[in-house]
Amino acid sequence: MGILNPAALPLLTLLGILILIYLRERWRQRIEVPSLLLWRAVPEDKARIRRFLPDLLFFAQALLLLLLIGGLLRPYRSQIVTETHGNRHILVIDTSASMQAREGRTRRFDRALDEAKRVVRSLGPLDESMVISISTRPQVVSGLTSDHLLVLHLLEALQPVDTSTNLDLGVELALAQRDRDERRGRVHVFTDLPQSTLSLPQEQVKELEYHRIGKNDDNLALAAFHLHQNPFQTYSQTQAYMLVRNYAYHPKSGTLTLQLNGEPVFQREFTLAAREAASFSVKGFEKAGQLIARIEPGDALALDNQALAWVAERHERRLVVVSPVKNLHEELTRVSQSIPGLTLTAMTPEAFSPERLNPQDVALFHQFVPSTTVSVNSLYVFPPPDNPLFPVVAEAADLSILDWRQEHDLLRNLHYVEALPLKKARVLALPPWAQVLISSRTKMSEVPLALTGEKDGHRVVCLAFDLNKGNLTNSDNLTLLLLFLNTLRWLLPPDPVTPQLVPTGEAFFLPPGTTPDSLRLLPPQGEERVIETDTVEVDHVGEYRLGGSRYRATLYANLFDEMESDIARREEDTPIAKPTSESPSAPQELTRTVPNEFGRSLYYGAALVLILEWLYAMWRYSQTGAP
Amino acid sequence: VGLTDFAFFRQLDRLRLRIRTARGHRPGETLIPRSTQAWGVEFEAYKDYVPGDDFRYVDWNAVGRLDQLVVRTFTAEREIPVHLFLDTSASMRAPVVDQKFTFATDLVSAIGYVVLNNNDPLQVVALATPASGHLPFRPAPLLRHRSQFARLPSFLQTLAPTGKTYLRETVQAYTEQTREPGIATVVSDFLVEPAQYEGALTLLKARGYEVRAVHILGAAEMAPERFFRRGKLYDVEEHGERWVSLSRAHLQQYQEALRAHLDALQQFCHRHQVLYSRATTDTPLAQIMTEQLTQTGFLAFR
Repeated sequence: MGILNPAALPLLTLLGILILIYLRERWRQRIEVPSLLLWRAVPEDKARIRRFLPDLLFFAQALLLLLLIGGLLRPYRSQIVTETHGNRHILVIDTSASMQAREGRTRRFDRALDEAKRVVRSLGPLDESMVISISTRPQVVSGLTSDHLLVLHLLEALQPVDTSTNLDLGVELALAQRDRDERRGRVHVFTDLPQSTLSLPQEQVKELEYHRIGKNDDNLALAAFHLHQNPFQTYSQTQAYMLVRNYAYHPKSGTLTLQLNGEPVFQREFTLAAREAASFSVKGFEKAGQLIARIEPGDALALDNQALAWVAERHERRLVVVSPVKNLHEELTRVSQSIPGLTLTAMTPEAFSPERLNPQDVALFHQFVPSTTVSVNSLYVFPPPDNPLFPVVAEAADLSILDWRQEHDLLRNLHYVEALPLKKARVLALPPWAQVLISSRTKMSEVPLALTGEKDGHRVVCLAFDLNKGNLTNSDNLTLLLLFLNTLRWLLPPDPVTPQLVPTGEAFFLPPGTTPDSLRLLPPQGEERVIETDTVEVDHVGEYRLGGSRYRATLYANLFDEMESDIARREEDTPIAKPTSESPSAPQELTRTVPNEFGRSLYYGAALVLILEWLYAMWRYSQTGAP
Repeated sequence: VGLTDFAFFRQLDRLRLRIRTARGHRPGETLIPRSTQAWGVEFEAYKDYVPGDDFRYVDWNAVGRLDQLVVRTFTAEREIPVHLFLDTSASMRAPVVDQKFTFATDLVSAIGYVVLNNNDPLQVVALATPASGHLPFRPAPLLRHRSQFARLPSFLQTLAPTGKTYLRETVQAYTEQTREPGIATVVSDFLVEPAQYEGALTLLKARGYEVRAVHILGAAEMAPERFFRRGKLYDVEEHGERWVSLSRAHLQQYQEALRAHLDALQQFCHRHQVLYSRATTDTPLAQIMTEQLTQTGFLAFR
């Protein structure tokens, strides 16, 4: 016995209000008599009348109120019910890249599906099954259902992807589904990973029906394919590095071929001992274009035998410097002359207008912030007080650096961040779109010295300290020069023609302002389709082409995943644990307590009391002539 | 039974006023026993002829037998003016459940029908609260014939019970303006101090009226415990209030006070030869007219 809606309990105070109404009515109501002549003989009795002596009508109304409030409280009686259920079978199927490895003439994935279908066909009519596919993310292919034909059909339609796997997540989801409603069930895991790779508690691992598929170790893989080319280097200065690893437990030979725009530019035969790797480097390319690294001959897993990269053309970039300080113009001119492909345009704030900027430019605003937003990536140095972008709270001098984000691209190779000139700085309030890169501390609080962020789709860097006295070409200011160059590189917008590298299993986010439904995607496998969201799930290796009226991009997706390429990992510790509990086969009878609400009966009772009360009131009115 | 019931009117057609001392000056249809006149319908007595008597009424057979001139005289036929005083004070509307005023107007209508059916003049008077510049009563048009009966309910419908009861003052004011006495019937709940109703009834007697009192009594007045147990009583006339709880003892005290009041009124009427009848609102009107008022001598069957 209990209530489901205790929020209605305060309504019981209405009973008190009902009593007050009755008392008030008694004091207010008067009984008309023709004369008090005869009543003078009866002594007056106020004290007795003050007492609360309810009549039948009051009790009827109180009962009516109680029944209504009782109905709102949603009372229930606990009822024990026994239900017959089948057993639950949750099938977790690994759809990651390694499941595409061949075992003879069939793929591991197809073997896993056959095994899963066998499990489904063995289920009883009351049993329920559920299918969860797991790659980078788990996905519920089929909810719990006893329609085994439907599950078999869905298994037929399941396809593997070229991504890594997160088996722990899939198994945890399956265990949670199994234990729902206190039902018994079994989790079947179909994967090529050894059971020891699961980082779950041993008790949970023991409860799994683990179906490990595949033993073939015959795999050579391109473990890495890097292209070193900064925005100021030409294709001839580009250097390509390739790492080839033998994941087999025996020596393997092969040929590594590198093609530029379809023409071979490098070919090398190699022999690798068991579990060994070799690296190869190529440079001095004669033109820009698509690079394809490929290992031959084919092996059990073909996905990791090929990788894509792009040798970019060097484009002239422009740095627009807007500063009232002439010395800085000259200093930056000297620096830009030493950077090939970079031109510099210097101007004073008075001469600046946003129309003078091109989308591929980088702007440097020194002691100046434009009143309107500029549509290029920008570096703001020592912004003036009362600027619209970075609220200046106070001035500070001789600050010392407290902390910095070493992993950020802007601080790469900066070993002596403390050497930055901090003679004079502004204390900025951190805008909501920015994050602190370098911070210091005043007596009052922590203050940002450098901050980065993205505003209106453009990268923004702000240095709160001044560098007009800092001579960038002076050897004492090497840290400042490196920071400036890193910042410049980080701010340079990507070449729209250059394909972007995206690891498989990750999502590519469309730039802000791109309308997804006007874009079409041509994936490496499958047909061209319209994009409906602002992300592209990169699940397969190869080239993705995005095309729209205003936006075009090419994505290169490669698989460099040691876990996936190592297709024959051996058990590291104990062999496969057997399930500890008996395999449930017979339907189970579950006894559980369910709340049996009876609030509706109270409402019916209230309606009945209302009718009876009305009839009684009418009868009393007919008798006394008063309500 | 109501005034729209023809069967009820047929019962009323069988009734007439019972006259004791009242008589009018104008010829009418009511025979006045032991009172003679020279002409008429019903033979009453002989008298010696005196010069001036109409020869047509000389009884020649008696002259032959007695050798003496005798003249026949007849029972006098007079009209009896009936004055029906209706109490319209606020007490007649309380308690609401009793509907005393409606009952009283119906009773006045029924008595008025009997009066007019006998072609006696009828004057219904609503006793109102005295106010400066106004008569302390409101008379209906004088009705003389059965055909004029329809005007009586119309008049009664215009009345509403309100104000205090001033029986003596209003009756006195009326009698001062009326030259011909007759039967005076006071229809009231008589819920006033005894001095009030005694003054009124005594005055009517003194002015030569044959006085009758019809006491309207509500069922709720007789058994108040059926309608409330406790509460604040409100006097609709005096506007006084009294907190009363009807315990057994209190109820007994009330019943004793009521009985004393009724006894005092009844004994006064008996002493002063005022016909008294009590009509309770839960009694059918037909029963009151045909049984109660005939037994108490108000009415008689034709």
